[in-house]
Amino acid sequence: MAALTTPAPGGASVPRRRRWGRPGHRRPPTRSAVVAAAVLVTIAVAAVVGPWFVADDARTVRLTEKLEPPALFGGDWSAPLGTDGLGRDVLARLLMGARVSLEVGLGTVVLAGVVGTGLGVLAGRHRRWGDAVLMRIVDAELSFPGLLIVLAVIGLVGPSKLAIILVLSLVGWMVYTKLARNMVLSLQETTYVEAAETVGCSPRRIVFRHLLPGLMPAVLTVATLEFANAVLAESALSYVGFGIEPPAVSWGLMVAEGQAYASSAWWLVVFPGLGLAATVFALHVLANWMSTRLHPEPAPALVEPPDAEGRAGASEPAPASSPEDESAPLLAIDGLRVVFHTPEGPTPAVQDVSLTVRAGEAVGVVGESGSGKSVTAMALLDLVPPPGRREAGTIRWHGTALAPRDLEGLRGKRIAMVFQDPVAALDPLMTVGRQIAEVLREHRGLSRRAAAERAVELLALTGIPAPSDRARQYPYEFSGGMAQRVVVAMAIAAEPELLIADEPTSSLDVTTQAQILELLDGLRERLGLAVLLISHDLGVVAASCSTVVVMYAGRVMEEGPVDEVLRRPRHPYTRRLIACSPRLDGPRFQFDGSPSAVPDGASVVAAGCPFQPQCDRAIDRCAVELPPMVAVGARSAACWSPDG
Amino acid sequence: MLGVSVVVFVVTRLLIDPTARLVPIGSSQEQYDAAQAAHGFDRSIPAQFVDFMGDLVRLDFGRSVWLGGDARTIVVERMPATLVLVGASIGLAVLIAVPTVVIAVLKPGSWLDRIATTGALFGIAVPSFWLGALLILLFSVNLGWLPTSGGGDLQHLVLPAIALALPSAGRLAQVGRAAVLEQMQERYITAVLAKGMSRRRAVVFHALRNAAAPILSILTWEVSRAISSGTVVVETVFGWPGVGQLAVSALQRGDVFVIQAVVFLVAVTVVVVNALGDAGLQRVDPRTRAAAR
Repeated sequence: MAALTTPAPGGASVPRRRRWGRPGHRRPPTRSAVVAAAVLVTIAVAAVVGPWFVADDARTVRLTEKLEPPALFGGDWSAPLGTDGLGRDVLARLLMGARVSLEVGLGTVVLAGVVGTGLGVLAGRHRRWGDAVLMRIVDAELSFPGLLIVLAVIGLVGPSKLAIILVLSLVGWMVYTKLARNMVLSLQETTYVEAAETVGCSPRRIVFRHLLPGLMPAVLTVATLEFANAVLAESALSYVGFGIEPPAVSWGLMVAEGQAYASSAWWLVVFPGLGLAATVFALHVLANWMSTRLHPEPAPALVEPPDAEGRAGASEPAPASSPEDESAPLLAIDGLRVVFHTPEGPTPAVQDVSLTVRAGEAVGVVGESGSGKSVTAMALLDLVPPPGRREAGTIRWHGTALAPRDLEGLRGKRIAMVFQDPVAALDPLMTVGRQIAEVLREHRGLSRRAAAERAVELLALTGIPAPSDRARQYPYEFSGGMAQRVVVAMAIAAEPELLIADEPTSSLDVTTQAQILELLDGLRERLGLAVLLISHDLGVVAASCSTVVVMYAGRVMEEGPVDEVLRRPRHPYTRRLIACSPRLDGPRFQFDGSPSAVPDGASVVAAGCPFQPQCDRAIDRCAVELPPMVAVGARSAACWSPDG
Repeated sequence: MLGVSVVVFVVTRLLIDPTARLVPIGSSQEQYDAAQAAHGFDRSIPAQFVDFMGDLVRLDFGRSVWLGGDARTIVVERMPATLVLVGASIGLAVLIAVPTVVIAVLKPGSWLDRIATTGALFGIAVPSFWLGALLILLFSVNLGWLPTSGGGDLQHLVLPAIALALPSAGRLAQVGRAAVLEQMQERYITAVLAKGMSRRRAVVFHALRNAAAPILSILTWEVSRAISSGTVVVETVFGWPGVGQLAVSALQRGDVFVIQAVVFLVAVTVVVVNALGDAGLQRVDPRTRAAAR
């Protein structure tokens, strides 16, 4: 639904017709949807055309030919699916039954759909007018799913096709009303409907040209499912004896009649049920596909790469697994590339990123949001969310190149992570003590009791007062700062060597920020932890890191010792970033320029330096050739025209 | 509840002639008039409605024409059998659905997931009376393992419980999969994985628990649905002596008072089930739990 509330591109422009959700997000039919549609069309055509040819066969009683088996099971081709207890042709009767299913389904869907949607639109357009009452009725009726009531009414009034359609519509209209009413309420707030109202379109025109086309996709999806429900309900009613009655034919009735011969003539029971199941199955497949069109954003988890093993990180031959090299840095990333495979095409989020963290060292990664710093961190744990994929680069741990699968083994145990929004990073339904104990039991093999005790110690270590009481509380009972201490306790529980802190203080207030940074700093010194601190805030990095890596548009722009880089930036982007930061020595929050907008994927792919369009030192070469990282002393920068 | 009452009233008093269903076929006009007067069917519609609502509130539904006894007692006696069947089938549905969801979510998009989702869809698409007929055909007629119809003991319970459970299991699995996958997108799941927990543990111990609320709502709805829809069909297929079967035979005999008792008491049961479901929902989340205390 959310997708439909999105204003049309271009703001106030009024699209003439909107039949199928947002233009530009059309999704090709899936194979199963095509098959389902083909099955349904076949059944529908057979149901419409078939009875003209076979009505006689379906009715004619030939007692001499009763209970003939289907052609493939010893019968002959005059009755391909066999005959029933009165010698009537099963295939012919199936087609007659299909016609009944089609009529009841269509009748119910059209009647209930038109009435229900109409009431819903009315309720949504005229809110004062009976909306509350109508919605009360709808909710009350929706909570009572009753074939029983349908059965009772039809059973008492007397069964007929019309009665079935009427009664099924009577219990089925509310679904449409609820949907239509809620959608009208949200559609009316979109720019294009508001624009139409301002321009002075008549109410009728607004409803028929603007609202109904917007409703159609969702209503049709619901109608498809309701069609399936009506077909099932009719067959169940007919089976029980209060639906379609002989001599008319219905699939449900055929099953009921066939059961008398079940032991000798299985085909009488099997075929009509198969018809039902196939119809309902196909309708559901179709409805599922229709509803994915309504929500154009793909559920990311479903766009998993076709072959997880094929990721480039794994395909590069790992050097013969040497024992951990003492002299090698703790972590060395080289040429990392992460690409997001969106429906619009592959978008690189991280390109050719290299960085090194030594044991006990604090390295800061700075950049604006969208610069790829968080994605780099996630790649270190092989937790890049789909549709992102690590496509190139090596990650060395103590000098050994690791495949994504090996990185998984380091998670929590040797590399731990602290997140930006600590409350969201905790399972809301589990006490914080148990969440810490979980790590200890998994990685330290502690008993339940020992883990619980150690969890309290860890909470105390991170400075949480009354730790044994706090351990028994749930995340919602913690403030942001306290929750971040819990997350830190969880991260250091297994005594990792590297702690990745992804914007650990961004969601906290200023006083708490300082406390958390102090805590991280203290832990680093006390436990000999290395810290990879990711932040958009140069001040945070300056305060607690010795080395800084500056990223922009998925690439490293500059890196080196914090003091040098901040004092004398070589890359114009670093200089811009420093200029934008609040100064401690000047008036607070004085900005002398806004940080440049991070360009989107398309322009990143183009040759040249990504910062070139915004750069005040750009030379001709910057636009055509990507500058490499050039080392000068302890620092390096990727720029054709560096400062100083 | 009021809606159900109005529907029952309109159908039993206005759309049909209830007196005609009470007197034996071939009765004289005098007998007809006497019966009509005895039940108050000759009075004005508003007066009849007041009487009708009064009787409902006192849970007095009249006497069964066909069985002779008090309609309420007849229905209440059948209730336990239906509740046993519903309980068994919902239990079975949960036992089927939960592992299916876990398998599907462990590797979304994998062939196991596709089998699980297709299987769920199949469960939804197969009409339960047909499933019942096939089960009888296979296990009772051909293999002779279980009885075809009747009720009372465990042997009779197996097949109807399965026939009633599979569609519920399918819907539960479908909703459950979507709910758990939604949880898998949450930040805390990333955090759980970053802690070094396996995906299986993240699914079973974290995502599944957090998806409990939507799963519990659909479960409540499935129980209501089984009581008011599923059992009618399945009890008829297997001759299980519950309320659903009673409703069908009462309809066959035009036993108006039993039918209105069935509809009304089933509606009451559904209301109770929904209330229990809401109460259960409150207990899932520590926040609402604390608020309730």
